[in-house]
Amino acid sequence: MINFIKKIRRIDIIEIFVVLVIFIILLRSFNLQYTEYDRYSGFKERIEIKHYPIKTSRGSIVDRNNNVLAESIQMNSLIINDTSSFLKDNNAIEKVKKLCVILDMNFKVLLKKLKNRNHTKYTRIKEGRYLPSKAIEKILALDIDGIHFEEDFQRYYPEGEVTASLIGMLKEDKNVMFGQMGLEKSFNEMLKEEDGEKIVMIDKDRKIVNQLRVVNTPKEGKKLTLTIDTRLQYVAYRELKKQAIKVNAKSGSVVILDTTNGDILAVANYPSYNPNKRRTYTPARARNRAIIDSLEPASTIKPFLLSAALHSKKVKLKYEYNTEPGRREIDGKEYTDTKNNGILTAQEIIVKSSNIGSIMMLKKFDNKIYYDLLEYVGIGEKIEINFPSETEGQLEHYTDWDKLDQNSHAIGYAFKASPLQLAKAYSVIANEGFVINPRIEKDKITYKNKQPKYKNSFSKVKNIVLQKVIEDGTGKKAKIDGYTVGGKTGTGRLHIKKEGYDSKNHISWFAGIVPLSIPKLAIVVVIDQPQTKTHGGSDIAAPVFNKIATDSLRILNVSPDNISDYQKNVLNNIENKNNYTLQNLEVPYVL
Amino acid sequence: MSNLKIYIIGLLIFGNLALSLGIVWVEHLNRAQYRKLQEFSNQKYELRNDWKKVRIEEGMYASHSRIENKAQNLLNMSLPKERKLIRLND
Repeated sequence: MINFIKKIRRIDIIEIFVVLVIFIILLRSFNLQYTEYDRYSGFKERIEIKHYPIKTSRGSIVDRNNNVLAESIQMNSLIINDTSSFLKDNNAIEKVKKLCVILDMNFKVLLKKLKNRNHTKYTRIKEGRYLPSKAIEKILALDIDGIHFEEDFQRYYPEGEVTASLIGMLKEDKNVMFGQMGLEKSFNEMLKEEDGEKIVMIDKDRKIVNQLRVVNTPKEGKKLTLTIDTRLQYVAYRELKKQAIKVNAKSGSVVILDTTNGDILAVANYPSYNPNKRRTYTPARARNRAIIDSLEPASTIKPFLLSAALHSKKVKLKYEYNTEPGRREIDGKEYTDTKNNGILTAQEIIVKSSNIGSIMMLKKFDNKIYYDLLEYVGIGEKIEINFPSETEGQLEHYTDWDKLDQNSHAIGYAFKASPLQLAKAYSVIANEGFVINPRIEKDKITYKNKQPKYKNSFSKVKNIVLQKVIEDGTGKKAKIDGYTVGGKTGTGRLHIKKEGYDSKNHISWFAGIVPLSIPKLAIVVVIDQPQTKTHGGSDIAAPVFNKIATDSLRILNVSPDNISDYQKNVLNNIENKNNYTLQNLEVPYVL
Repeated sequence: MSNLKIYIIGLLIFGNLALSLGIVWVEHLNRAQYRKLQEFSNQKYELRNDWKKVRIEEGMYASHSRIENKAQNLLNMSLPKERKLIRLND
């Protein structure tokens, strides 16, 4: 034995040792690779492999000139991790104090909130939501443990109350944002984003070092381009608000329609709210009255009555009607005009807005013709601009009209239309019978009929009657320097369910086309329940039309079709001079 | 064992080691590049977000109400009446 031990060389011991080590390594390798593979690969996956969200943003909404109306921006929100250990820290009070200064909130309130949430893993602070980058830098400079920032998207509406009732806003439900109202709701499928998810490998600093695979491909929300022109929308809202406050009205709406292609250029409503400040929201303020409310259009419908009458061939513009004495009982009900207009021609009935004359006119021809025309211009039919709760108005079939209904239809009662529908109807007059369906989405192809109906009637009403209303009739306050204007005023009584018509509260209308020679815009103004002595469309709504149309035409650079003598002089001067410059141009100084 | 065989075995062992190290090195490079890609991707995302913010800011500064207010109150400007306007581009 001793000999055997003596025979063992040192090298043999080393060899045995090496073999042993190799064996142990192989054994351990086998152990790791086969016996305990699942356990260790599980460890690795838990530590190194993470599911990581790929965040995307909701699509933006822009106007026809690419101005932003709604945009989602990534913001950071403050989170306090493990509230209890955060408060146990010796410097906790000091930290909270410093944090309060940056967040501009009361120290005691924040401390109380943190103490109340002592048991929770993390605390979200309302004031810490959507912090600007400067505030984040300041908080990071404090070097507070247990604080981190979570990425979140905030929706901004730069035009605020001007476009609020049209664009709408978002609502959060179970961490998912979706359109609560307005276009945000109706175009939600197009605008909404879908976050993706990827499996990544992270290192010890928790930084992504490799992407293993994408589980869900993210889908970014698409951009929605509207036909709205923000400049016109602002002008419409500004003038509407100004007038509504001045006459102490309950509400009001303005619609501006491009008659050449059906583009809705502005839809303004008052009262409104600021979608960036949610506390200003109330259902009444958010209501888009121009699209979802249907009202009796009152006298603004009379040009359509005259068009139908002319189409029937039973009435001509110069036919006379005796409306004396301005108050008359017809079919057992008393109808009144604003004054005794005496004998009026069919044209003057519209110019003076005589109710008695209108009723007498409808009795001369078949109700069917009038009904067909109203239906043709879109009364009682949804426009389908893809807006939530868009109204279809109300128009009963002419076979259901009794005599009183017939009289009511003649003066714009017993049927209803939204301001947008009325703007569409006036665009049919502007286009002399061509129907172009309004659109709000710029890329949408709009419907236009190939053969116009009622061409001659609409042409006469547009070129002769509507202009007379502005020059000699009820619409004088809608007259615009430099442009020919056609339009019609309306003053409706407010209808209250079960109580009937209210003699004290009125709805003032004005619907017009401008410029009349080459129509570009159809504008409808509605002021609901003005609390002034005069409540007629001529005094309340027509001046608003005037201001909106003047600014809109200037903004859109529409050439004047009715220029003043002064302008003619200057233009002649320009034409007479060759190679003129503004310096050598002789412009009369005194106007 | 001839010298040639020893050289070949040595070369194979060296090659094996070099390949192993190469794999580790390439994996490291891959990760470093991916990290860089992540950084650029984040930078792109942040720049896009900044661009959105700037657009909103622009919208705020160029808002019609603000411009109108400044023009009227600060610069004492007013719109001329339509009859005084001459359109030279017609």
